[in-house]
Amino acid sequence: MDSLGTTKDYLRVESLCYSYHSLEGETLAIDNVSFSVKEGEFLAIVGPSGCGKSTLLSLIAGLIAPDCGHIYIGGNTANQSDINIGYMLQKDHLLDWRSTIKNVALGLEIQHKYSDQSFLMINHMLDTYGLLSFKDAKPKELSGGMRQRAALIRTLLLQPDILLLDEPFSALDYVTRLEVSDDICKIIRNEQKTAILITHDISEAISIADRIIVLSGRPAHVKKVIDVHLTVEDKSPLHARSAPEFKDYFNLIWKELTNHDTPKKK
Amino acid sequence: MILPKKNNKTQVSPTVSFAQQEFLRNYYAKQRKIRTCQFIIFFGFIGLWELCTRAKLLNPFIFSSPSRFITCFIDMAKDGTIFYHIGVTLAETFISFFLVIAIGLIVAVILWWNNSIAKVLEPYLVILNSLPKTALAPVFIVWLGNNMKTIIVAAVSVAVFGTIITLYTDFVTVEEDKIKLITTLGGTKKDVLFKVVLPGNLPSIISVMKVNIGLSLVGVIIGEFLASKAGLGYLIIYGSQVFKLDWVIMSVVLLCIMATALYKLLTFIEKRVQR
Repeated sequence: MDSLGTTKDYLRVESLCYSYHSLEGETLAIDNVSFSVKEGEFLAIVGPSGCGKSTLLSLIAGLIAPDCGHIYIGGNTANQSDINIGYMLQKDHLLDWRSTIKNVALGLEIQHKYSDQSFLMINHMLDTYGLLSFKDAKPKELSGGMRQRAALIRTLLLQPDILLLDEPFSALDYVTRLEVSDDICKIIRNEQKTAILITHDISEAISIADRIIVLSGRPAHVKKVIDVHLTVEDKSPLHARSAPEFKDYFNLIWKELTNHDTPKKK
Repeated sequence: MILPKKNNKTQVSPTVSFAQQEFLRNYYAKQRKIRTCQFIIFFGFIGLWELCTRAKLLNPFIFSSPSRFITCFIDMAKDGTIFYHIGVTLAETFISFFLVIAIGLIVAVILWWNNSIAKVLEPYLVILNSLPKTALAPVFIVWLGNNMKTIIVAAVSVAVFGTIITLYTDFVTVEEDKIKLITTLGGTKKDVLFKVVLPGNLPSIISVMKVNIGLSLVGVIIGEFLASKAGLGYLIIYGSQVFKLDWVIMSVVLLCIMATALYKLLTFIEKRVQR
């Protein structure tokens, strides 16, 4: 396989298609989607609900195989590359019967990578992200934000090169959601991870991402790609919301999402 | 940052308010009433039974009586025969119980693992589950002989199909996203089974066990009615044939105690596991 990806594009998705099959017929979920992500970049994908955003992530994560098109990670096709992909689901899915430390170690346990060194690493991460005193607590004793942080640590411990976030904040109430997204983004920036965030919340996308891809309704195709440049000193998600350009980006994306006419190619 | 939730235990202050005292008093008074009523029913029933047989209102030869079956028990306890019969029934019950749980778990896992096998076997499981298994007992005697094998096979057949169906249904209703989680963490189907399906279904496995200990006892007694030389079921059927009703009633009472004890044993295990 020839290496199509340049050094700058860490992940490249080329003319991806995917359909679901049922007895009633075939549903095209993803229609000719192409985009790329640079190393260390935080990309957000917004689109109306049910447009196939999660399907797109499952394709990138290699959970399902595309009908056509290619995914290149670090210059190789996805299944050839030995790049680790971290996936964060909508809910934290901490297992009720495991303590925090055992929940966090689940990925290591499954991949048989658990060692004395990883024990130290787990403790270090729990300490850094304020969960150390809760390491023996069961998930039901944790707050929504703590649970989400534990879920992120579980993903990060596998040292993924790319993080896929499938609406990780949508199950939280509004205030917790703002706090947690701020928290999680700091952690991801801190660990210098390449990340793709899926969301249907426009403000969340603007406040978090470096670049935003707007998808159309089902079948999903790329409507617009927007680079986000906010003039604020502290580019944390909470502060980003007070940037003067924030509402312009908001209106731009809102227009794209509500415009159901035939999409203009960018 | 979210502040960690404090684990607030209900704190009882040394000075309890008047309303709280009133509440506690009412609560304990009600508990006492319930216990008293239960005792009255128990001793009333035993006493009335004894009185009626003494006063010849009931024929003690047919209806036995508390004093008669207690004496009978003491006599049989002296030469140890009753413990032999209890032991046989208990052993048969435990063997059937463990077989049911083992077969149930293994088959349910196989069905969960392979959807096609599950689909193919579904109608047969439903039919076998609804079939009154007592109908099969005579067939087992012919096939396996007049021995303990027949009793255990009969007892297993009573409980095993329901167990398989219940466990399989619980296994397949595991949240789809939990399976996705294991897959995204690089896990295989085996990991899904051992990290999510089995530990997540522990409460349902235990509740199935609670039902099965009773069902195994039912199966064993049915088996002993038809094919046995020992056990409480044998005492009941033999006692009724030779009109030794003391044996029959004593065995029924012993079965009551045994069933309760077995159920309590599993409730105890359940509490230990849930801790």
